[in-house]
Amino acid sequence: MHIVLVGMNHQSAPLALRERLSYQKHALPAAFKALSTASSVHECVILSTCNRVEVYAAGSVPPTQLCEELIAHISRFHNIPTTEFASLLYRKTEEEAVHHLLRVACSLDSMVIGEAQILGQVREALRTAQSVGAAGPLLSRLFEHALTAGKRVHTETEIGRGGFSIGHVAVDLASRIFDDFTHAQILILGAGKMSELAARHLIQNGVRFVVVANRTYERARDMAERLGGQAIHFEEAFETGLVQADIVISSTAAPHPILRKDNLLPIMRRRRGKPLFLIDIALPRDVAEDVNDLDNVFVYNLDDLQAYLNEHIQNREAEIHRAEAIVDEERVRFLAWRKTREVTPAIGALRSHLEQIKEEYWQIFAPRLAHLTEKDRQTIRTMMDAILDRVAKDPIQRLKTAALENTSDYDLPRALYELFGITAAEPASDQPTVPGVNAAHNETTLSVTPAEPER
Amino acid sequence: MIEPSILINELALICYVVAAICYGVSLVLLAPKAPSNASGNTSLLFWARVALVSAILLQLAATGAWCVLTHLSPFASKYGTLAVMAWTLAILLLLFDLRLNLRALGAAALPIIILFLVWGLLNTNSPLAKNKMIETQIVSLHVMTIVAGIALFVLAFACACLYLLQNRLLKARRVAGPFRLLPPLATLDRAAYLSVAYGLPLLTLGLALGVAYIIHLSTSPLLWLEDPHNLAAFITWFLYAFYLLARLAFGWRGIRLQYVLVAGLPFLLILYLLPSPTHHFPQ
Repeated sequence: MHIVLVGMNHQSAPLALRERLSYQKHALPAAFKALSTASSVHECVILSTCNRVEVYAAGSVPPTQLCEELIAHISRFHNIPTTEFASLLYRKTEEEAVHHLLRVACSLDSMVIGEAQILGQVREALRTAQSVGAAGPLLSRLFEHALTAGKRVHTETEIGRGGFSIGHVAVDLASRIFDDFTHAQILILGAGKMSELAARHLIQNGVRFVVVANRTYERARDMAERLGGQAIHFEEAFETGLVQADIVISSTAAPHPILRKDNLLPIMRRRRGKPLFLIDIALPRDVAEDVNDLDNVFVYNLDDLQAYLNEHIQNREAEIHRAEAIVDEERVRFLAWRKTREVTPAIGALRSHLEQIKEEYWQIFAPRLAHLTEKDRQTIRTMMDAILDRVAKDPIQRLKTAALENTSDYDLPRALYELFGITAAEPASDQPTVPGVNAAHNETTLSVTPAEPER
Repeated sequence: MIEPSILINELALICYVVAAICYGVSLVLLAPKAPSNASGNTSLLFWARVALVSAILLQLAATGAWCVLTHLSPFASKYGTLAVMAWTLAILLLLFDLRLNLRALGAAALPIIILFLVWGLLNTNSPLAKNKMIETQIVSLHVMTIVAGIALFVLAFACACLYLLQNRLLKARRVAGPFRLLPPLATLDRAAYLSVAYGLPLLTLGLALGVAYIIHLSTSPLLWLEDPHNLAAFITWFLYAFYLLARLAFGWRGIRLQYVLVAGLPFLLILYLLPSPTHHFPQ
């Protein structure tokens, strides 16, 4: 099977387009179902965050064709002509796709390099795909390697320490407007994790007044309790919250901008020119573009934060190099697993064959051993298992080594089949199958029934 | 006769230029690359302050030399008045810099200080007002308070300009490049407010002393009102009074108030540039 990736991120496509192509959480099952109609897509994971929309897929057709099918799906699903976005997509196949995902999970491809949120988002993408049976053994394993790499980068390097997150950026930008955070008031619109992190950072820098507004009041109350602030109803945010706030962090799930020029203008009049700093970390955006035209209003969305962080990236080269080394290690491990996976059917077939021989001979000799006690009979069966394991050990080891290192001039799995006279379940060389559940999976396209991933 | 004063003021001018360069370079060119390290280059800032303090001390010496040599108030000549104006501005700038860490204000206000001093040095041959009128305490106090008030308004103007620049950069989301060390809007707003809050009472006192002197001279008030110089002074007073009223009574903030401060400068310049029939001291 081939692994491919089709996607766009904060570097390749503008925010407006990313918004249109993003997958809302509730729409993911429908997206997986739509993908299941593509016969060539065997496995699939969708990673849709504020800064990227990526579709990872594994299939048996050539990678180029697989990519085209994914692009066609994206176009159909979002009802956007391919011509509008195809040129801004990146298409990565096999090792390139693997390398990309590992970099993403390690937040090396993030807008804020070193930020930890992406790891959770990758985990969530995998879980969602697994829950609907879209992620099979190959992509599950790939994503698990990516998660391992991400964890290692955060524990083994300094990339996430003292670095910049949305919170850091918020503090840094807010300090261009306000000089004393102790009197500043934050209004959080939408009780999301990202806004909580940003707010926490501002609180650490002296902010004492926090107000949380959310459509679900209980969530606002919970967050306000965690932050030591006050919860208000969402409507109150427009009546009083925005009039009193100095910094607004907005990350609602609203499909359209909730802060527009027309509804902010009367609020700004009531504020009498008091500066208002709007941090829009929602996707789609919560703050309309023209709001920045209002006097004393400063709007920063995700793309603006990216621009701000560009120079920050240059100062962390050493840690980035260390993180890249971890990415390479995990990439090699995954590819090794993948190569040994190619000989897994042959190993399974050998084990089955030997097991079958053992059973045949046991059936023949068991009546002659009837005079023995059950314990002795069990000892003999254990001995037979041990002998067969020993017989299989060297061929299996050599098969794995040959697959990993490409050292053999022969097609060893085929040789194994011929030497041992194994005839059943011989797989195609370009479509490795794992016996049992994996074989079944490879023969079918995506289903929306849950499937346990290979661990 | 006043050569020593001129020489010392020329040395002070060199120090001001050095300070301006150090402030400007430390603000723009040597801004830290990493956003987290916002302190930037502090050694240049140190030398900027050393140069500024040196210039202030030199100007003090120059003014002292003038008084000793001429036995006149420095306000008896255009040269002396402009030199004192530059000196007052420099002292206020130093106070603001040390109190609010406004290195950007140094970069913005020092060119104005240099302009005043150069202007004064170009007028060293201007006639001396050897008139008893200028020697009276009330007139001396009138001039001193007006000069101090105007110096504060010039600082308010510099703060407002920096505010507008910072506002523009923030709006354009160009905050990562040069000018990283521009002060926060709130600091600039507060510095501008403090300048006006101290400057307006001084201007008020100066104007009141002027009016008192008119009454003392028993001349027609109409003669004084016809003077564009005086008219500009009163318009300036109303402008800055409006600023304070809008800010304190109506709670106004933000960019529009900064425009008021920027608009105040033309009237300040009129005070100096326009010929005045009443502020004329015959030989």
